[in-house]
Amino acid sequence: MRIEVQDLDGGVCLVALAGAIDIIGAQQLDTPMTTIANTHRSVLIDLSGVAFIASMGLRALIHITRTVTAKGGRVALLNPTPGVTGVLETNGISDLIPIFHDLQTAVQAVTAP
Amino acid sequence: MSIRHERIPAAPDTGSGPAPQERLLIRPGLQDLPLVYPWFESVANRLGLQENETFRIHVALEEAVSNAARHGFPPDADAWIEIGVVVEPTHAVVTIIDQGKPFDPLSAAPPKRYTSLDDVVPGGLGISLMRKFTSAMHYARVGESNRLTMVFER
Repeated sequence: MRIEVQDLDGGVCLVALAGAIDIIGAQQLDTPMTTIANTHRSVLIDLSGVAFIASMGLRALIHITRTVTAKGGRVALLNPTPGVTGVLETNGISDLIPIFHDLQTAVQAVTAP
Repeated sequence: MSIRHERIPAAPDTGSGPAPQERLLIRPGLQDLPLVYPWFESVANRLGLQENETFRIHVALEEAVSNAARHGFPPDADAWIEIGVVVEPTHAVVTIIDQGKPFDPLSAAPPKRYTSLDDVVPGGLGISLMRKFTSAMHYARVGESNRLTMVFER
């Protein structure tokens, strides 16, 4: 599991994930994602490098989204693969964490007032 | 490394009999879980599963095995979890057998569509994924063993 964090204009934190968010990958995400959630109000998670995600990965994404939105911020997902999108659609999760396929639109979404 | 894998011919290889079962044994707990996917990926590649088939089976396998490994046994249990994979032209079958405490994933409530992230129930997502990515599932408690069979149409 690789995590690259980049601060964009407008206070947006772009988190690029790569690898498998399985049970082990989700554990590796726990501390850095909690730190990001506690320190940013606009978080964009680039999933284009994520080849696999399972329920523990969904929980990690739900956890960061809950934390950020609880303080009035926004989280969005960027460019998941078709397989990962299928997992995100489970139980309607993709309706609750917005998914975008271009960076500009995603940035607008997480910085909207 | 506490892992064992083997290929068990189900019948003499006459070219028309049932496909052989690929089998992996892992210990309960977290330590062997990282070994499951590399084994399954090598099986999938060798048996010619398509990428989307491999993905679907991987998701359901991850959920079923991690349930058994994390929740089925007391710490440091001297036990094995057996994973079997058979790939036929029309379908693949994954069987998970363990001597952990009884757990029937099919007894869980049907998947619900959440309208708020605050309503998401831990554990419910994994079983929803198993239901979503399998064509059929069957559970039986046989003696002291859980036997979960997952079928994937190809």
